[in-house]
Amino acid sequence: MSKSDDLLTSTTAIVPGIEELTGEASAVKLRTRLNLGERMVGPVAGVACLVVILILLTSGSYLSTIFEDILIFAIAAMGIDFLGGFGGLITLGQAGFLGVGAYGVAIAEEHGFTAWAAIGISVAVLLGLAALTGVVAVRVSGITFVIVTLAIGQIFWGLTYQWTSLTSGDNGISLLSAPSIGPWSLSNTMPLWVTTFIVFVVIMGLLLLMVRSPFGLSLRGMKNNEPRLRALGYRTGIQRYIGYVIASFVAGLAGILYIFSNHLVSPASLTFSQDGFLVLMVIMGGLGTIWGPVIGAVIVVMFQQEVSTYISRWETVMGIVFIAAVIFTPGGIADLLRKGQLVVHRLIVTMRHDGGSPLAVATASADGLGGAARSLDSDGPKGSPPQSTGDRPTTDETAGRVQQ
Amino acid sequence: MTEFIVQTFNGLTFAGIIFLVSSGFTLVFGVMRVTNLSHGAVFLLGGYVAYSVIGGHTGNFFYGLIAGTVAMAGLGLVVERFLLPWLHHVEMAELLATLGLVYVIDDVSLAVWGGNPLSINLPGVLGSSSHLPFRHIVYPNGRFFILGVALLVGILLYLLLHYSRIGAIIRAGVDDREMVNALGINVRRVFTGVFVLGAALAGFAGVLGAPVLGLYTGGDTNILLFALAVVVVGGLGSYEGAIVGSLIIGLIDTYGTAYFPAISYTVLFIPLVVILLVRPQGILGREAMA
Repeated sequence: MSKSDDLLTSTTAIVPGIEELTGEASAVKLRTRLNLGERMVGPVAGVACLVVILILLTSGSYLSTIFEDILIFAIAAMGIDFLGGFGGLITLGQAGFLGVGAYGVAIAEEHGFTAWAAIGISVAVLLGLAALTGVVAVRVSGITFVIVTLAIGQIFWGLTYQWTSLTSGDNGISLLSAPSIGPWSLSNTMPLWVTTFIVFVVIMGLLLLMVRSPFGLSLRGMKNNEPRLRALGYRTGIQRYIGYVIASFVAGLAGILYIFSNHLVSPASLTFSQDGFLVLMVIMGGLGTIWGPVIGAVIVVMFQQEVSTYISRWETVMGIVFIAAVIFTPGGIADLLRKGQLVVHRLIVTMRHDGGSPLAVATASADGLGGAARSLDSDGPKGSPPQSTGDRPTTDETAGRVQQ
Repeated sequence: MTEFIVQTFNGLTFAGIIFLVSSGFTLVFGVMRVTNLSHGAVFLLGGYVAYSVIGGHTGNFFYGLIAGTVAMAGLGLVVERFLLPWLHHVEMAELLATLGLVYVIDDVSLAVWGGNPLSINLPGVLGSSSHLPFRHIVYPNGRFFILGVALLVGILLYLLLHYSRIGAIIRAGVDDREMVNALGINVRRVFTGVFVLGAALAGFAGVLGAPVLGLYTGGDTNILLFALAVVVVGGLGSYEGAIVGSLIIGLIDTYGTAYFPAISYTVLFIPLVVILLVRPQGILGREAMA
């Protein structure tokens, strides 16, 4: 089952009556066009990112710090999107795992381990904690899962805050040394952010591969209709567990990069508001896209770093922006882009086939918009209104298809 | 042993406070399926409002209690009337919107009351301690007062839920919302009432808890975590579950803090783990809500 097939069917669903309007042949053309457009979204976003990176690269070190922050938080946010956008399980405790990754390195170094050994220890601790907490977390789903993961994250926060003999409490722990291979040392700015970028790209690639793999498809299926998947013989509990461990591990990796970038980790990095920021990145960017949270990370980090210098009450602004995002663009920026694309494509096709009659164009674009909006009304339980945040139209279509 | 008895009293007091918070949370969830993550922020804001009323204007704790409760009920009304309708009963959207609200409430609180911890003192005889008739224990009256008030509110809520028409509607709403609607009951009004009640309870608990817990930035997350632990253990949406859960979590946390101060948060994890492994829907929760 390839992505384009899914999109084919979803396109027809989104744009009803297109055959009558433009004739079968053009409908096919439109489909191909949309497919192409859809396929281009990811790469275009990637190229856009690269351009931004190049701009940042050539500018001062302050911006490159922001850029590092963006990448690090984007990594963690992509993990949330992997589990939330595709598995339907939104975790609100990922800052906790980010903290575990960072503290793991810092504490191990403090106990005399070399930087490389410290990374190894941190990874081991991360996997261990993710595997342990996962057993508990995946016992529940939906809202309770959010609550339980929030509790898990807060318990990690509590540990860092209270276990002062190990973590130095509120003061946090500083990094002692960064790993290096020959002259390539993470204590230098350039190698650090190149490494961060490589890790970012690799994680993004792996997650994108994973959501298209049979495992990813079954995750989507689980999100859409778990009983049915179970009836088909899938062990959904195990899938959820693997998804949880992957998401938590990814957040922890971000934490390991975080300590090398930030040189200090304190309980402030594990607070509830940090958990919220990570989820905010995912929701703003677009749930169920993997690349959407990257855009979300850019927005949120810019808010933290830039807007905060102009507006002292930036958290209030951010909260309001967040609420507005949940209300008005539940699909995030990714969804806005998709809708915009749809309208543009409809316009192009209609203009070609109706000789550009203004009336037809107007109808077509209105139709396109209406259709796109309708597509958000995916079938939630009891046919309820938009399943805004969780269910992106294409993902739903895909998930539906998986089971058929 | 004396230490243990004192800690048990402390635990019961704390259980009383988190019961007030979590009962509101669980009622709102049970009836409306709204996961109000701003519940902790409302708790803290209620305490702050009371602080200003007591310190700045009246000097009377009870005026503060009333002011904090009424103000938070008002806030609840505003949120229910003007924010929730935008979210069309989509559970995850409601959860996320209230998460956004946390940033707003916390930031405004920080702007108005600053980052330094504040405290409220209980008036008169409640501020002093008395000798208990056994083991020469001296225990603050205020804590008994808090425990007593929490008990009283708990009983009143129980009576309201089980022996009044409104309570019957609320319980029916928890069981089968569609059916209640189909029977011609104005669910919209019930929702508003329950949400306002939940916010009022949070504000009330915030004022009542302030003499014990203090008012500080981050106190909202702290109390939210306890409320969430209570509802997971007791069963999401179950009022009786909130009572049982509060006792378990309140006592375990207090013993944990007293005997294992370095890892008290982790001790809190134990009941969560046990419940999720043995009975994921919570002690008194229903399967469908887990």
